[in-house]
Amino acid sequence: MRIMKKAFGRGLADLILIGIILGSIFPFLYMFLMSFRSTINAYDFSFSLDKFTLQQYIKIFQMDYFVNYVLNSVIVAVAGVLLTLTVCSLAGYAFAKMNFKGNDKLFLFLFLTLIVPSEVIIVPLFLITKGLGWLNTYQALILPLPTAFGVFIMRQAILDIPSDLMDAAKLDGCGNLQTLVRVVLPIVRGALLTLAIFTFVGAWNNFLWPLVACTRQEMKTLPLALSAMKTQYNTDVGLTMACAVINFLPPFLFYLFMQSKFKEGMTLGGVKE
Amino acid sequence: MKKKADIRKIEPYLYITPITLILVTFVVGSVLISIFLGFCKYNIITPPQFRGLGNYIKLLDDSKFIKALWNTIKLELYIVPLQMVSGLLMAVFLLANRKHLLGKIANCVIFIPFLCSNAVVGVVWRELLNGKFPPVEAFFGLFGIQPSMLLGDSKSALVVVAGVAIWRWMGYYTVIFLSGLMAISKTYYEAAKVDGAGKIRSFFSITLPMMKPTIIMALFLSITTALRNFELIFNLTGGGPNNATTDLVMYAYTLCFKSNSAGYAMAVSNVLFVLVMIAALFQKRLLKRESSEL
Amino acid sequence: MRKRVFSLMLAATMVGMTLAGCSTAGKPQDSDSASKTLDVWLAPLDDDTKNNWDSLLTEWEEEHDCDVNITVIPWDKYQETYTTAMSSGEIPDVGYMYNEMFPTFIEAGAVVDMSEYITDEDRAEYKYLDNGNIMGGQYGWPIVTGVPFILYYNVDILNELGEEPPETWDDFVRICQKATQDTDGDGQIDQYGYAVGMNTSDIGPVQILNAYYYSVLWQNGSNIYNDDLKSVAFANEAGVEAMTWMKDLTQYMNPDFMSYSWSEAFSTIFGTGKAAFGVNRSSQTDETTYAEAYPDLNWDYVTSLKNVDYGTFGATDSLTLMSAAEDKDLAMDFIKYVTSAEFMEQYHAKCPGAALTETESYVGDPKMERIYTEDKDKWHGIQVGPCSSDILTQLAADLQGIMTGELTVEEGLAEAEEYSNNLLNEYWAEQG
Repeated sequence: MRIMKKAFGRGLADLILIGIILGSIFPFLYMFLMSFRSTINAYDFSFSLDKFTLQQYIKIFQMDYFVNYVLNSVIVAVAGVLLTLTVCSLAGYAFAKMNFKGNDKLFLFLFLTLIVPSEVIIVPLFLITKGLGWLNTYQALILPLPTAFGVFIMRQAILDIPSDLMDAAKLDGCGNLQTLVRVVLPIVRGALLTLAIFTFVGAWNNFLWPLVACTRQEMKTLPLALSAMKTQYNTDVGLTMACAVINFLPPFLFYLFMQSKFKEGMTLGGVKE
Repeated sequence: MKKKADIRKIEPYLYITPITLILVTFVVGSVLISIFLGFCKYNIITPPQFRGLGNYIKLLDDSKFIKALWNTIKLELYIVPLQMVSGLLMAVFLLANRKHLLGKIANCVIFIPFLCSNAVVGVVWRELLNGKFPPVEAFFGLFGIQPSMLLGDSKSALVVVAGVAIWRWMGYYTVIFLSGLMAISKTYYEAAKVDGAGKIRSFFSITLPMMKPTIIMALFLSITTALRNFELIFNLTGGGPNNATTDLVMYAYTLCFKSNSAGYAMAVSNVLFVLVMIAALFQKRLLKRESSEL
Repeated sequence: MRKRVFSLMLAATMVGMTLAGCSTAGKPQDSDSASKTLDVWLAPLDDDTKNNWDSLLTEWEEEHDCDVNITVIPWDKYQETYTTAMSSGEIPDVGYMYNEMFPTFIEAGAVVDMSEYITDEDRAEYKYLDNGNIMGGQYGWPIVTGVPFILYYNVDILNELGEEPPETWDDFVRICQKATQDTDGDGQIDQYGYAVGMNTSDIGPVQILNAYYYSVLWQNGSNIYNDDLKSVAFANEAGVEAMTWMKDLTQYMNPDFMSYSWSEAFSTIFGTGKAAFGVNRSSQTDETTYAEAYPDLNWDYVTSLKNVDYGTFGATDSLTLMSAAEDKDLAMDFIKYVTSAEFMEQYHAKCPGAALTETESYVGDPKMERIYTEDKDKWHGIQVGPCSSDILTQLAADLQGIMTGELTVEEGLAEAEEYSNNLLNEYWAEQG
C-alpha cells in the first residue's frame, strides 16, 4: 500500500515535471519550427517537413556585415559581463565583509536604483551619454550594464561565507583584495556564473538603448541588424522567427555552457553545508 | 603605521566606488535630469523651456494617466503575489526532485523563457493564443476559454499580460528562491522530523521563517520587474484595447517618443518613481530588520 | 586557485582594452578616396535593403565623386531613432519619413522645403510629388507609394451566394449578412462576412485606422481635420454615421476580431477562406504571393466601395532633404536619381513597387494593375496636420472602445473630438 502510494506520488511528480518542461519550451518549439518555413501566414503551422527550407538562415548569414554585428554584440555582452562581475564582486565583498561608516545606508541607496525602469529614462540617459561625448561608442553600450542587482547577489553570496575562512587567509598575510580573489570568489562561483548569465541575457537583448545610442552602421548590434530585415509589407513570418532563433541562440549557448560548469544548477548562494 | 590604518579606512570605499560611479552617473543622473525635465516643455529635438508645475497640474485631470496608473497597480497586484507563490512552490518542488532526470531537465529549461527577449516572447505568445493551434485550444478549453478571445477583451488582456510576464520571469525567481532554500541547513529539517513534523508543517515552521529575508528581497525585485513589461505589452496588445493594457511605463514612453511631449512624459515617470519608492520604503523597516541576514 | 587569479586578471585586462579601444573603434570606417560623403537613412524596404541599394549606386557614386553611406533604421522604434538623432546632431543628409512623422520635424526645422529644387520637367515626370506636399511645402519626395489598403473578396463565397462584387455600402452589408453562417451544420457560425483584426500590437495604434477606419470615414464624405486644421471633423454628422455603420458590421465579423492584428485577421480568417471579405495592404505581387500562401483561395478585390464618395488609405513614404545636409544640391541630385526610372526600374526588378515616374513601366502582376490606372483616384494619403500623432492615437483607442462596446459611438467620438480640439486649440494658441 505504502509502495503504491509512493509510486503514485512519483508519477504525479513526473507528470508535473513534464508539464513544466513543456510549458517552458513549447513557445520556442513554435519559434524554431516556423523558422524553417517561408510564409506570410503566421498560422501556417504544422510539424510536417514538406515545406522545410533553410532559405531564411541563408538570408541571415549572407547579410552584409553579419560578422561585424555578431562581433559587436559579443564584445558588448562579454565586456558587460566582465565589468559587472568585477565591480559587483568588489562592492559585494565590501558590503558583506567590511565594516565602514554608512555601509547599510549606501547599500540601500544603491539598491533603490533598481526601481527605475530603463524605458522611462532612455531620454535622460541619452542626454548624459551625449554630454559625455560617447554616442556611437562601445562604452555607451557597456558601462550602463551593471546594476545594483549584481551587487545584491554578490553581497548575499559572500555573506554566507564563514568569516573563519577569510581570517585564515588574512593570517597567511593576504590583503583584502587577495582574500577576495583567492578565497572568496572561488567559493561564490555559483553566484558569479548566475550573475554572468543574467548580465549576458540583459546585454544581448538590449534593443532600444543601442538603437538610440549608436546610429552608425559599424556600431550596430545583432538584434538591430536583424530587425532591419523586417519590412512593413507581407513580412515573411519564417524570416521573423529565424531572426528570433538566431538572436536567442547566443544567450542560450552561453547559458548551457555556464550551466555545465557546475552541478547544482544556477544558484546565488555561497557554501552549502 | 598610521598611514596603513588610513588606507584600511578608505579601502571599503574604494571597493564600492566603481559601481557607485556607474549607478550615480547613469541611473541617479538620469533621475535628476528626469526631475528637472518634469518641470519643462520639451520635445527632445529643441531645447527645453521651463514651465513650472504645469505638467503636474495637467496630470491631475488626464484620464489616460489615471487609467495607466490604475493598470500599473493592477499589474503589480496580479504579478507580485502570483510570482512569489509560484516561484516559491516551483523552487521547493524542483529541489525535492533535483535527483531525478526529469527534475534536472526541468531545472534547466525553466530558465529558457528568460533568455529570450521580451519582444519575441510577446510575438510568439500572441501567435500561440491567436493561432487556433489544437494543443493550445485544448489546454485553454479545459477552463472553458477560447484563447483567441483573450487579447481582445479589455478585462482579460491585462491578465494575459500578467500571465506571460510571470511565465517569462519564472526561472529568475525560481533561481532566487532555490538559493535561499539551499542555504537552509538540513539539520533543521532533521530535528523537525524527529519531532514528528510532516512535510507541510515543516514548510510552514522552518522553510518560510528561514526564507523570510529571501522572500522580502524577491518581493522588492518583483515590484520592480513587474514594471518591465513594455516590449511584452507592445507586442501582445500594443496597449489596447482602448488603453486597457497601457501601464505607466508605456504611457510615458508613448508621450516621450510619439507625442513629442518628453517633459510631460518625465512628469509621468517621476510619479512612477515616487510610487515605487514609497512601496520600496514601505519595506525598508523589514529590510533594515533583516539586513544582517540579507 | 592560480587559474582563477589568472582568469580574473585576464577579465580586467579585457575590460580595460575594450574601453581603450572604444574611441578608435567608434570612428567611421575609412572609405575609399571619394572626396564627398552623403549619409542616407532608409527604412527597411526589403529584407536586404543596404546591400540592394549599395549595389545599384556605384555608378552614381563614381560620377559624383561621392560615397553614399546607407544606414537602415529598423521599423521597430523608427521615429525614436530620428528624434534622438535630431537632438544629438547625428543627422543624415537624406532621410526617409512616413507622413505622420512630418509635423514634428517640420516644426523643428529639421527638414527642408524642396520646392525651389523642382523643375517643370520634374513636375511632369514624378507622378506623386503632390503626396509629399505637406503643410504648405514640398517637405517630402515620395519614394514608396501605391500600396493602398483594398477590399479583397472570396470569389467562391460570393458565387455561392449568387452575388456580384460589391460596389456600395448596401451591397457590402447585404453580402456580409448572407455570408455569416454555419456551413457545416454544427450550430456554430464558421463563416463570416468580414475578417477584421483590431489588435494594435507590433506597429502601433494607427494601423487599425489605416486598414479599416479611413476608408469608411472618407467614403461617407468626412475627414480627420476640418480644412483649416483648427479642429477635427471626424465627429461630425457624417463621421458619426460612418462609425455607426462600422459598429453595426461587428455582427458579421469574426468574434475574436479584437485579438488579431489586421494582418493576422487577413491571413487566419480571410486567407483560410472563412470570410467573404478581408482588408489588406495591397502589393503588385499579391497574385504571386497569395498563390503560395493561400493556395486554395480564389480571390479578387475592389479598390474602394462607394457611399457618397470613393476613398481608401494608401500611404506615401518620402525621402527628405535634411536641414543638416551640407551639400544640398548633391543631396537633391541623389534624391531625384534614386526615384528616377533609371534607378527604380532596376530596384523594382529586385523588389517590386509602384512606378514613381511617367517613364517607369508597371512591372507587377497584371491582376493588380488597375489600382494604378482606373482606380488611381480612389486611394490617397491622410491629411497631415498638427498634433496628428496624438489625435490619431486617441482616435484609435476610442475606435477600439466603440468596437468592444465599452463606449457608444457618440461617447467615443465625443471623447476623441474633445481631446483633439483641446490639443489643437493649445497648438494654435502657441502659434499666435
